[in-house]
Amino acid sequence: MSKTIMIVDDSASLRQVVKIALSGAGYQVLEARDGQDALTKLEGQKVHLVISDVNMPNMDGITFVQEMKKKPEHKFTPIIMLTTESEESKISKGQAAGAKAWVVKPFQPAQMLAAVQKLAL
Amino acid sequence: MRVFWVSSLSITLIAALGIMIAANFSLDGCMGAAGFAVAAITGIAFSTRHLAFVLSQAAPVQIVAPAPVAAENEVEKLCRRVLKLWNQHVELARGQTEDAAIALAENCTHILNRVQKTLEASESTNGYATLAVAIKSAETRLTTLVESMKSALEVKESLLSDITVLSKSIEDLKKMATDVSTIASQTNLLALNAAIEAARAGESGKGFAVVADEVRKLSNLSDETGKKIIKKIEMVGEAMSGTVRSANEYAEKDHAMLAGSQSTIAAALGEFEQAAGRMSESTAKLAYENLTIHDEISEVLISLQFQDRVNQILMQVQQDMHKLTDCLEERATMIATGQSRPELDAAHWLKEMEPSYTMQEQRATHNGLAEIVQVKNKPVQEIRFF
Repeated sequence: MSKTIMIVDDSASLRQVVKIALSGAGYQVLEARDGQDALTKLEGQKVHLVISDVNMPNMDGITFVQEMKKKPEHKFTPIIMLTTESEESKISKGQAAGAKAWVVKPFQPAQMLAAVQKLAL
Repeated sequence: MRVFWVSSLSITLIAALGIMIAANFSLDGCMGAAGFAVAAITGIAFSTRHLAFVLSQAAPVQIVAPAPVAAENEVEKLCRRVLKLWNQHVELARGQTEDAAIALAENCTHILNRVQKTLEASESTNGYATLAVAIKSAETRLTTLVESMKSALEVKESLLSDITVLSKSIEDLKKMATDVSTIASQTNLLALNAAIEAARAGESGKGFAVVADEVRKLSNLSDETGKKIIKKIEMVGEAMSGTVRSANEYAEKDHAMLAGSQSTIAAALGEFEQAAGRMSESTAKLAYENLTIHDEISEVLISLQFQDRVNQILMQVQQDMHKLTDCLEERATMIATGQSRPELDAAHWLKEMEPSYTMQEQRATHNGLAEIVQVKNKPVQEIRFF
């Protein structure tokens, strides 16, 4: 059975890029356009890993990770932050919120795939 | 203050120019989408430099210390009217660039899927291995067939040899038949002498004369029979000679045909093997090309992500344009209601802008440290694991 990954990003093209990078390796990829949308879609949905942007409308990535970690069924789901942000202060916030990795855009598809393979439970 | 105006005006006009350039590109398919994105970004870069120059030549804008109830100046009026329009143009450029990037990403997906399916089809048929097995099987069967033909020829040659031996016996038979004729002739002569002697004996030899006559008749019959035997033997001999001659001719043709068949089979199998070799090379080349296409598409996917970066820059610009529009509207209302306008603090405005940046390049640009980084030269950063 293939593993399910959720990509949370307000850029549809970026979501598509992530989908291409992962679906070729057999992952099923779910899409959410922001943190709020992701929380709604995660209700009753088993995911093996979440990739999230930081700067998004409605609910930003850091808040989303904090909210997601409050849910018992998703408490241990690994999260990769995928963002244009490279400020140390932002990276520290992501780590404190519970993210497992920080990826600065643009990413290498093979690099992202390797990270997902390493972290997806 | 002039720096502030230059920044806002430049970026809004950038979008309009980007759209105008992009409109010249076809949006049909992948290359159209890519062309649009490149054109919009090129437009932005060009417009920034051009407008910075034009506005630097304009008259200084008096914002810092206006008269308490002075009328709205022309630059403020102009900006208030055009800022909304520019904002819409930036939104339009942003939307169209995003649509083009999505189309490009989808095209990449289709290309990858098609390449993958082609490779899988090529690998699943396992053409080379199948063909190699078929060739080996055909070789075994054809070799067996040639061996059978050889055996048949050997049997035929053995038969021919027997017939040749038999045809030599014909001569012996002919000689024996000739001997029969010779004996009959001598018997005839003997019977004739006996008849003469019987006639000389007179009345007492009459009985013997009858016997001698019968013997002569029998010798004549024996002679005729001997001659008939010779004739028949000659006929049989001729027929056998003809058969042996024909059989020899056919045997030569059979040998030539066998040799021809062997060389034809060898040539055909050789061609099949060469075709199989070429097929194997094609499969290997296809696999290599597939990997190359994957690598190239990976590069395209990296380039596509810059659309997201451009989008974020433009969104930040739009937010600031909104803020400026609101500020100008508020000031216009103050003028209309006779209120005095507060002093605009450009340094504070700029300070407020800085935290809204998400990228290192934006911060560097803001602080005048911008260096133009070509998209293709921007390194991909390592993933940081916690």
